[in-house]
Amino acid sequence: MSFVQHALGIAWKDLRVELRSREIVYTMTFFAALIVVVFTVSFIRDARSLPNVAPGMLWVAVAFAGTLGVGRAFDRERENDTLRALLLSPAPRLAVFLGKAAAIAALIVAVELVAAPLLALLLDVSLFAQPGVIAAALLGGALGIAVVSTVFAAMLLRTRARDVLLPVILYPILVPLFIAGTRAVGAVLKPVPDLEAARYWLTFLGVYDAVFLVVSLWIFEDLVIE
Amino acid sequence: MRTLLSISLMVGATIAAVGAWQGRADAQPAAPSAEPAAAPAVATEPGAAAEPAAVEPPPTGAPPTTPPAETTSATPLGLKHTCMAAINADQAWTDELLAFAQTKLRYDAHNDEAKLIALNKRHVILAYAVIWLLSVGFLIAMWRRQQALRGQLESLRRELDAAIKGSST
Amino acid sequence: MKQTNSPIVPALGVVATLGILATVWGVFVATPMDRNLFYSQKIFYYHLPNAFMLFLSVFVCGIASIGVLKRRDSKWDDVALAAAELSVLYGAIVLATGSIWARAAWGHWWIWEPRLMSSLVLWLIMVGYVLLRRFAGPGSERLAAGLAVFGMVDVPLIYYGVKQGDAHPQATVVQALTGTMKLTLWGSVLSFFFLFLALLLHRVQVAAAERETRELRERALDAGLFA
Repeated sequence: MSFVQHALGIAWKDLRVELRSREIVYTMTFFAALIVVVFTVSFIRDARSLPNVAPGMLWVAVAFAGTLGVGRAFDRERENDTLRALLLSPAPRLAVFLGKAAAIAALIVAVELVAAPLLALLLDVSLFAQPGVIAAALLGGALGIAVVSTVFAAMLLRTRARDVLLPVILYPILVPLFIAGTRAVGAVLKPVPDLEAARYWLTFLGVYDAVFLVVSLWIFEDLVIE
Repeated sequence: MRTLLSISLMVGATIAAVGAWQGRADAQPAAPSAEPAAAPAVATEPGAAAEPAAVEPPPTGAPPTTPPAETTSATPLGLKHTCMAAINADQAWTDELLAFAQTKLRYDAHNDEAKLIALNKRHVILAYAVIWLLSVGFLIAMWRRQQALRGQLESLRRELDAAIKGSST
Repeated sequence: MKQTNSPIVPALGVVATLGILATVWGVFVATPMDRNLFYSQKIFYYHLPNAFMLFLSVFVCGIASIGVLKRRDSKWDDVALAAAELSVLYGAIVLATGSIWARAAWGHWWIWEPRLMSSLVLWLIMVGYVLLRRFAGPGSERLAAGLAVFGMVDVPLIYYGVKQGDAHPQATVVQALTGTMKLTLWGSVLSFFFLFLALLLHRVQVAAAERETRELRERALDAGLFA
């Protein structure tokens, strides 16, 4: 089996486990929807929710729900000590990492598919006037969050207080991603969509993903070693 | 495999970053150059400007009194002339402006400046107090850590002594 | 356990103290008043050196963390932990003085500015590092090392992210300095560098001693010395 097949196999395994129970997808998306609703009733002016906080809401909802899902996905591996088995299997460790990150990215995309339309509906913003830009921003954001949180969740697996520590160390690292994501979405939501700015921030997002993917590739093995 | 993937990703990211950076720089020719070592800079903010505003017509009346486009050019100088013409045409307005400039404005500017300097002195003292408090706090924390370590060593020594005594009897 | 009573740390401490006393005279007596900022410019003589030390300590922590990950040597880990704690101290100083200065010069305690934002996020990462070391239990040094490496990569991205967002008017303060101002500033940087070295070396020694105590106790337990 090749490297890519290993990675795809592990991603497919994770997704199949999830599709059997749908525990994470249901709780994550419902949680993201709740965050959006809480925000829409919290930021109000003149009996209406503020439309210009939509990009921020979107990314906060995705990040919170994503952290929840990642924590649960790795708890599942921990309960039966299956991550150790995965790492001991003949699959290369990087394939394990990439497979898990891909599965988590898929979960986050699922959350975004619920949160973004809900936000557009509740705040009455034309989020999908530029579907290409929004899709690229959501995908790039999901990839970045998935890569970084997979590294941290995997290395926190055997520590105490991991539920608290994961967001504590994850969010500062994700700050550039939030900046780029909110700016890209915000540029599209302007009265006259600023496509040039959107392209700049999408590039920024892509560079962020590439940089952290490379860093993760080089330190993941040293981090999860027994 | 990993090296190949890393190199290709980094090359792609660099090309994308350079392209975006240049596109951005073209769009904003006045973008300031990077100056990472310098501290936050000032001097262009109105709050800290040294010279009080000169006795120019205040901007309050400018936009509404701008006549239709055929009499003015869009340049700032043209707009200024338009405003001045409007002010000169209205004697009461001129008097009001002059009175404001000669009394209130001068006094306020002077007063504000004095206040600012006094306030800044307080800020400087505050900043130094913070620096020393934090440093002393750190030193105390380090000292306490050392005391704890000393205690640990002491207990370890006692336990070792007891263990040796126990094994010899 | 070997005694670590080298004279380097006290000597550095003395040099740093003398230097800082000299800069206090320089800041409050010798340097002229700045023409644009008046008194508030004087914050800068201590703000900038501490900012340098923040980035220096984070850099030391990042390099030592790579050492922890690749070499698996606990000596690297002592350095990384010491530098991380120092960076939390310097980060607090830089943020506090920077915020006070922003209030004095710009009229706001906090603004969306690349250097402020990147220092803040850097500081948050280093606080996360220290929290991780304290609460994550055994094996936390490797996790924390991973975090430090990520953090080191993260900071330039934040800087450029905020910089491209909204251009805030930027003038350079450093280049506008003359004579005694320049001397005071660089004297201050040097003094704080010596202070940083003294604190770092001392903290490394304490960390090493703590680790050795722990290892000795474990060895004694393994050898069955303690019942």
